Amino acid sequence: MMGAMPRAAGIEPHDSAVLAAVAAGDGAALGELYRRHGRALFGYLLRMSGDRMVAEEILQDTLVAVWRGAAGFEARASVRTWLFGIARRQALQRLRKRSAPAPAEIVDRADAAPGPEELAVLASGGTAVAAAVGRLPDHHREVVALAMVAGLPLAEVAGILGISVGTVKSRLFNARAAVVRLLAAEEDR
Amino acid sequence: MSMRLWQYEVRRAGGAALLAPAFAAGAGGLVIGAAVRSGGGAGTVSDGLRYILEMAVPLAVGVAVTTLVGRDPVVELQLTLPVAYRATLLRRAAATLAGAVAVATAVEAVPWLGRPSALRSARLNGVAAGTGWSPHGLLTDQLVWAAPTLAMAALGLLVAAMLREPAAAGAVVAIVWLFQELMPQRVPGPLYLFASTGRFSGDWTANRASLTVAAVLLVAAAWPVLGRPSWLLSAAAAR
Amino acid sequence: MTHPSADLPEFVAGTLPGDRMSTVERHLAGCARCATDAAAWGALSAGAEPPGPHIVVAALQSRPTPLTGALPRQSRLHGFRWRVPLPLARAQLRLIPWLVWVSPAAALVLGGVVSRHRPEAQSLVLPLVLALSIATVADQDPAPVSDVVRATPTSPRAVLLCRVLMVAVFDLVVGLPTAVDRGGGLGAAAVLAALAMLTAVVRGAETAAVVAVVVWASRLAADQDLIAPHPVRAVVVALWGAGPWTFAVAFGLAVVAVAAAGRSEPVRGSRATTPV
Repeated sequence: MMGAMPRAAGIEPHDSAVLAAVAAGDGAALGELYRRHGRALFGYLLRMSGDRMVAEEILQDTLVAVWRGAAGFEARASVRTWLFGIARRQALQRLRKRSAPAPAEIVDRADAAPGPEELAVLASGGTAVAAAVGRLPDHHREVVALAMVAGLPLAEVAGILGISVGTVKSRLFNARAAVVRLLAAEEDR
Repeated sequence: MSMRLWQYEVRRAGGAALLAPAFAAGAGGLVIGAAVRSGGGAGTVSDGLRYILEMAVPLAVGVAVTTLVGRDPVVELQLTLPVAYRATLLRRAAATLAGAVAVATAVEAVPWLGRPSALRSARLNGVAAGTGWSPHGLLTDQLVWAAPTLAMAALGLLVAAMLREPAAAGAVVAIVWLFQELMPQRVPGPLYLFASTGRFSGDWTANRASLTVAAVLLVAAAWPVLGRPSWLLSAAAAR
Repeated sequence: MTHPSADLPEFVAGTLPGDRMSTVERHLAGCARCATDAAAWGALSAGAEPPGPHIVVAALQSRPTPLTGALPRQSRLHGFRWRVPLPLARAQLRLIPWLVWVSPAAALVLGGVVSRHRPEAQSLVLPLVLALSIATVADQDPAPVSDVVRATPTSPRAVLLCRVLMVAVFDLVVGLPTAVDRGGGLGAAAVLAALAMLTAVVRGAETAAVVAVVVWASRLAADQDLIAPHPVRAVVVALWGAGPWTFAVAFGLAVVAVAAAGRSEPVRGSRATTPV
């Protein structure tokens, strides 16, 4: 089954070798790719869509697109960047059809560091945080999902989104401040 | 206890348990038929019928009862029912015994139905050759098969309750039966299963009575084990 | 003291380069404010359990061929492999209940002891014990794992052969040395075991146990002096002795059993609470 991939004794084949096997038509290689990157992909898609079932559907669409287009990988970026690019396109396609989330009172401006109470709310974690993240605008949600949930290096996040690393960082911090404000607003109700 | 419940439990007991005595009687009948073909006389038939009643039917019932434990695949459902699992098992064992009663009655009726004169003159209460057993009244003669059947059924119930694996429990029952067959001198007199067909020199009635008492004692020993359905049904999880 | 707040998101996500990571770690050990900050970032990074590999299968099935036009090599999910690999044997050892080993061993030891006084005892016990153990392991529907086992790509025939061979070798090794008239014991054991295997595959372990015991007992009866020398006895001896016909019959039954193993659906009406 893995015959198309050269396997050195004891060393795992590189992602590009696995992708080449997928392009050659090896279904098991697609499973191997999923084993390596599925968790990060799903975390990203879950944070983007806010709904587990929708995230699973988008993930399956992503896998189909990978299976179809594996031959089109040009090795300009890493395999993971390419996979996340496909996932992002699928997610935006699917989520654009949904009604936009209610705009929260967010101002895209650097803010002072939140105080201890807000930090404690954040540290308690749980669905309150996830719900707050789900109410952020797209560009904030994406950086949180890619950098924190999927655990991609900031340089790769910048490559996927097509922006600079500095912009990624500032969006990340703004996103966190926005989440804190949202959670504080929830508590005040 | 309605008829529907009994019908249901009969179905749940399974074909193997209900038909085992009939299967054993059929196999024994084949053996007797072969013997008659090769020139056996009336004595052969009456001996053979008693062999079926005392040896084949109890063994079949003992093994059949062992297959009753552990047949339920849906453990959780059984444990939620208001009826204790012990009652369910005993009901199924009663259904098996009813099958044995039917088969034994049929076997005893064979001499009266058989057409050849050899068969018709060979009644169950005929002269027994060399065993020292002599016929008593009609009801007491039922003890020829009833006592060992009850004893083996009770043994099967106890062993199946403790081992929870039908094949292992069946093996134990069959080994006990074989031991009594091969080494009768080592078996204590009151517990000898084959008092009507084997070499037995003690009091026949006392032997039958003690076998029945042994059956009751075995069921009493199995009573607490049967009262733990989680133990009985955990065989499925233990596999 | 400068607080590395800008590095905290990458630190929590695990994507910080190694040297800066150790610096931040040392700082966090001493600074409570930054530790809380890091916990706050951690709250944002909670992930979720991804779906299982079934999603890959579904994706493969929705688009059978990639755009390159090459045919995908799907794994042979139901092929019959002739080799019985060692990992399969190890896995089956975990699944076979311990009673299947202990109970026959105890019975055979007892038979060995009894055969000091009655030499033919062990050659009577061995066929029964072998048949009953095979009846237990050849059952195609052992609750509750049968559905899971059916979903694995290993052929059920390979599983059956593996289990039966392991159990048979074990029982023969324990019992054969003390079985006098080894030829006769082995022939009867072969036929009874094959019959038990076929019944277990087709109807289940309990029916197989009953059938095995009854057939074994009638063979005993046929051997008794109840039946004077006659033609039927010759047939019985031929079937239960160790001649070529015996092993041919046993082999034929075993082949039918193995062939039947992979064919039927595991759901049987007798095990359901309502008739299926």
